[in-house]
Amino acid sequence: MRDHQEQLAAAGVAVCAVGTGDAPVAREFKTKYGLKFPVLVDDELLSYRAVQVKKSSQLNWVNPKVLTASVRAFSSGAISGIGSPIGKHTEFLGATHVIRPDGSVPFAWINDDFGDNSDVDEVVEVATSKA
Amino acid sequence: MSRVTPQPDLLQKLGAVTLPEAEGKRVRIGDLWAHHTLIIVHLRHFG
Repeated sequence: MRDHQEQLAAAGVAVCAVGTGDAPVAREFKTKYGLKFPVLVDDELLSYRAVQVKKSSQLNWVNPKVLTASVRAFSSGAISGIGSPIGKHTEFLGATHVIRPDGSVPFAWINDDFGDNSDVDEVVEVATSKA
Repeated sequence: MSRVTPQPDLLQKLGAVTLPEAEGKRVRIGDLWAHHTLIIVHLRHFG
C-alpha cells in the first residue's frame, strides 16, 4: 500500500493501518516504511474483534505456502530489526477492508493463514473506482 | 483466497472503536471514512 500512497491521495482515498504492540514500535514501523497514513495501535484487539480476524493454527507453520512466505519475508528484511514487532498477539491474522462514506464495503478480505494476503492492486482498483 | 461478505454490523462495531495513532493522537475509526473512501489494513504484526 506504501507504493500507492500518492495515487490514493490524489484519488481522495484515505489509508489506515492497524497493528498490535505499542506506540514506539508503531512509530518505528511507520518511519521504516515511510508511511504517510495513520498507523493505529490496537493491543487490546478491539478493532480486530470488530472485523472478526481469524486466529492462526500451529498447523500453519507446516503449510508449504506459509513457510515459503515466511522465508521470503525474513530474507527481504520485512521481518526483523524493529524491537519486538511480533508482539504478544502472534495468533491473530490480518484483514483488509475498503469502506466508502455511504456505508458500503466494496472489498472485505479476512486472511486465512499467514501467507493469505489481499492483492494490493485489486484493493487499490476497488478503492479508486467510482461507487 | 478469502474475499468475504462483510458482516452486517461491521461498520457499527468498527466505527465505534477509538485507538491511539503511532504519535499518540486518538482516532475514532468511523471518522476515517466519514468523508473519504478508506482502505483499512489490519496487520498481523508491525514488521
